[in-house]
Amino acid sequence: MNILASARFWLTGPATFLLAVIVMLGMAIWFPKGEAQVDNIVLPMVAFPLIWAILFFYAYLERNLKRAGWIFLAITLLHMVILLNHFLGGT
Amino acid sequence: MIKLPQQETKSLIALHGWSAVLLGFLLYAVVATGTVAVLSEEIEHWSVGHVREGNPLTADVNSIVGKLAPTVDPEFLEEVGIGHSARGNLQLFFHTHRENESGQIEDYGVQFEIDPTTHAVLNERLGTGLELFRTDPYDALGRFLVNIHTELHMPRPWGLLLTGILGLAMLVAAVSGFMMHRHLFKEMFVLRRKQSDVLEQRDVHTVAGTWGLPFAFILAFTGSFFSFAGSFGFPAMAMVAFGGDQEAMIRTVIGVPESKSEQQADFTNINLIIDDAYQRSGQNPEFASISHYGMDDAKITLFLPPAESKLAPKQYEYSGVSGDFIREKAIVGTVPSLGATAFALIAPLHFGDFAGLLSKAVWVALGFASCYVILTGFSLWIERRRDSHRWHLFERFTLVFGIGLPVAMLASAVGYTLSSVVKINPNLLVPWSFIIVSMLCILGGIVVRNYHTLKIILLGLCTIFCILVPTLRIVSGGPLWVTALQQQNISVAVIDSVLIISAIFSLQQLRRALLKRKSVRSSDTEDAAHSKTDNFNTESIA
Repeated sequence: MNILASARFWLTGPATFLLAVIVMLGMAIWFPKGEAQVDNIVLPMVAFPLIWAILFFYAYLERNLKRAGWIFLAITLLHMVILLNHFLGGT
Repeated sequence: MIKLPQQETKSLIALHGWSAVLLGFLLYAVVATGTVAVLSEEIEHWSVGHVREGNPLTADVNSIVGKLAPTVDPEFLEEVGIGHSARGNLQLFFHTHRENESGQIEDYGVQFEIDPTTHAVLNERLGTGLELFRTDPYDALGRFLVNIHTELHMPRPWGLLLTGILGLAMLVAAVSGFMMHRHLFKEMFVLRRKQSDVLEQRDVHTVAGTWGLPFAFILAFTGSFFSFAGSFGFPAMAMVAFGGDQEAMIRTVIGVPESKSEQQADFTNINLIIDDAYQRSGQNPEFASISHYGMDDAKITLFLPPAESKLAPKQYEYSGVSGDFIREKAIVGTVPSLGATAFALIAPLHFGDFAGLLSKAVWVALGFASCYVILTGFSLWIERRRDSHRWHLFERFTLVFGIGLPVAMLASAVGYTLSSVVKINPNLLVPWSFIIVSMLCILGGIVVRNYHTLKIILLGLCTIFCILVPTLRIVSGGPLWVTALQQQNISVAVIDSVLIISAIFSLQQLRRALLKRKSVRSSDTEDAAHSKTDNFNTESIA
């Protein structure tokens, strides 16, 4: 079987990594800053491997690949909106 | 353990195996060098041999700084880093910050190595921080091994990204291994010796893997954090959180003053500040940083090791003019926070240095177990595919890589000990020894046809190098254990002992390999005799 033709390979591989990065970056905006104003920078970075692992195992073990794809897309869009809003002069 | 449906269990077994086969060799390189890197400080002291006793920051630092400051370019007074050199002397780096060709901010200045007792200048060098700290000949060996672990000697940020991905692969192997074994806790105690090779290897793999599971998870998690945070995490997060305003980020994360003062002022007595830090924490600083030396906004930050029964190190900030204690600084940010606590815990958990040599010994043992898990995992994978010729090649590669890497690491240590004898810079001899011996191991893998003979040669080399390294160290003028212990340098005895234990282990494996070859040969002879008899009988009947 050609692994590159497998949708699950692309979802668990590059898509999961990119989504984990986007979630981490988005958390810099929505995660509470804390008294030192650094929690929103440090904690998402510390949690990055965990975020990736959760997304990875979900994408790998979910039998309904379409559902996994839709969930990934929804999380991506949500964080992209937060990031765009931030950079275009929102919060 | 976790009762998953059969389809998911099968998927996890495939994931566990293929992720290891595809990334396992690089992961093995990172884990094996990481196991050695746990002892990097001891390796540095072992390399130097005659290390000066005590903490040089308890010497008369104030006089030394006061004497050197007027001699350097005033620009370099922007920041002064005070620590210890590999030889245990005082090391001062007067520097400024400048933008390099690739647009990154770097330290540039003059570095002094000072005898803390006589105040004599032993060494003076001008350059960037990276140039100066990456070319010290005394820590060439430790630095070389640590760099394989952190960046696989690849350019930034690619090496860090790759080791980060390998950390994630280790996380996958650990989590999938945990999920796919239905009777994990029962199997932790099952070792079926005198059964078939496959069963024995499976048991060893499961037992070592299960006991090392929490450790593998912690290391994979913290290692990935270090790699990704260093390569893109910090700049990307700062870009988002501060909209690209680097100065705002530095103010928040490090807490430097918003503007520089141009008003000159007498510098305080740093010796009194170090005494005060000892009174407050019961610890002497390992490093001190002075910002804006000689100006009225000068500050001193002292970096103290974790107090007894604590995991996180401490930072104290003092005024560089009045000498007043300003605050205890968080590792990240200017006041304590959850983020700073989490950040402070990652390093001791990854390096295993939170309880001195004891915790380091545990980390080394578990690192060794992780290497064993990777190699036995490969053996299991091969054992189940014995019929395919290409997996025989994979088996040879596993052997060459599995034993060849420790042999090449030992060769780099041989190169280091020889460097003082042949008068070649260890920064050259250490990597070249590693490369040449790696090439020889690969060549052996191609030329030597018999698998068992190849194993015997590699294990023989490993044993010889383990004995050769401490012998050469003493022959080339290194201290004897008694002398080193009198100088309070226990690292010499520790590293030599590790090498001797490794030699005994390697010798034991060599003996097993010799017996295995003998039994294979005798069974081959018996098979040949049987087939001869069978042929004779067939011909007689015919």
